[in-house]
Amino acid sequence: MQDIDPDGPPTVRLGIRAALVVAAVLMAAACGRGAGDESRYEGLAVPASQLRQVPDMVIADTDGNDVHLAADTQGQVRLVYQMFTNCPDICGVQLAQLASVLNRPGAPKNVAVLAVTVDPDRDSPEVLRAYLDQFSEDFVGLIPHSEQQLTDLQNELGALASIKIFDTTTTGTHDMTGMDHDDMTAMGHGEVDYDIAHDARVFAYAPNGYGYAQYPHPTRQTQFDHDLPILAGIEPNAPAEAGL
Amino acid sequence: MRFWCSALEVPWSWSWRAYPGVWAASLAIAVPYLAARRRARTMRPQALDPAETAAHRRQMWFFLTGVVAFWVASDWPLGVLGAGYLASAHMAQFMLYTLVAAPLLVLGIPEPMARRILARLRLYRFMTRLTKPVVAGLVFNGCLVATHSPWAVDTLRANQFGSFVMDAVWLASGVLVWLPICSPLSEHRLRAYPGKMVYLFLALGVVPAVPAGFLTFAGFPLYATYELAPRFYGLDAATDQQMAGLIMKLGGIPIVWGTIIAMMMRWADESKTASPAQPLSPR
Repeated sequence: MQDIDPDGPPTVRLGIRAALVVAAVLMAAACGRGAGDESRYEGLAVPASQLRQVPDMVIADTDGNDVHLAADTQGQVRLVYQMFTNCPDICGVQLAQLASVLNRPGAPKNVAVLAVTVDPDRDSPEVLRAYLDQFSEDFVGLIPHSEQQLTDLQNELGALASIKIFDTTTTGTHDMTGMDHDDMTAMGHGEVDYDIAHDARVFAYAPNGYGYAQYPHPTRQTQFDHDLPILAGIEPNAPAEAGL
Repeated sequence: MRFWCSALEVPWSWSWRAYPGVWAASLAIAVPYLAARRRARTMRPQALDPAETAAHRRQMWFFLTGVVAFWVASDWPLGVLGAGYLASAHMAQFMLYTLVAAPLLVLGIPEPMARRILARLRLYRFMTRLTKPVVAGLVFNGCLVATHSPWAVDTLRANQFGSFVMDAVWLASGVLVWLPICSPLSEHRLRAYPGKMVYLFLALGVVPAVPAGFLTFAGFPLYATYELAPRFYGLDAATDQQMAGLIMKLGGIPIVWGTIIAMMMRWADESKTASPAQPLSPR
């Protein structure tokens, strides 16, 4: 994860957030099909040439157990979402949307929501679990053990790297590149306040392991509700073309 | 600085925000009214009797309470919550505009003032047509349905001007729907109590139940504005929308049915006065 220390926090912070959202949408649009193409998904459909599989990684969950993203959720639709508990806006909205859609009668049962924190420094297992439980006790909370693991996951997903934005009004310095939360605290900056700009797409993988659709913010519940049964209906041993 | 409350797309905070447009609109309603009253008082050749003075004072308080209701519905926090966070707050605003502010403003306007305004704006004939019960009822309910459509809410609430237009339409249509009941001009009011009661029931009790039903029983959030807004104390969009439907369906009952019951009682009183009971005479 990159660290950014903006001068003039509110404006720059907003700018970075906006730029990241725009970049994510553009990237998702680039991944998606052309305007004239028919798509069976109401989310952004990933073209065959850019299909990716569920990241073949092991990340610890909120109980301290290792979760093998691909093997431990085999046969299920996997919705991988990057979030953090101090997220002021989008994360809560999207998690609430997913909880609402999955709680509806008739919603497919073979769906696993894998919520990966991009803020492992502050999101302890207890904090992350308590946060996710506000939405659903079935959501799996995952905590990367290092910045490198988070970066690897983002690369596997095809997601943008998350960016830490320090609030200079609380840190009082402009040279913090490369420091993490503990470094800052050790240097006597007290409780460090920072925000994280991150890729807010929900990456959806069908039971056969292929990620056919993505859902950037804003996505409506009706779009999830339309697409999830389609994804859930793809057989675990179906070829990649089955979901296109 | 923002002029009018509209969707903000930032997390909700109890930090106060200034909306000078709301204050200006409240003053634009109240100040000319008070000035006109003052002018009327100074031009009056003789003093009013105590009963008339009390009636005038009551009218003034009705009007000023209506202005306060308008301000509460439009300004922070309810205005901001309704514009961008909660469908239920949006609905509470609608109820305040149409069922509280509008009738109070209408009740507060003295007849001479209403005649003077209509004459000066050359609106008398237009208002005479508009206050026909069928026309008033249809216009109000047309506005109600149109301004609660997902397209209207998501388009208008996204910017300050659109949000202002929506609030203005609510207040204007609210004033219109109450005119056949309590217009300051007797010729614009329905004369018979049964007619008034039926009109009130149909115009304010029946049609609003339809969009209220849609909101309460819809499978998904209808409005993108509220579905995608940062959550307010974790309240999910579906529950919020159901609350909005219930507010629309049940919120008007005390006012609409309270008014109908008051009319029935007044009707009974007037019937008694008009035809006093004859004592039974021995045959």
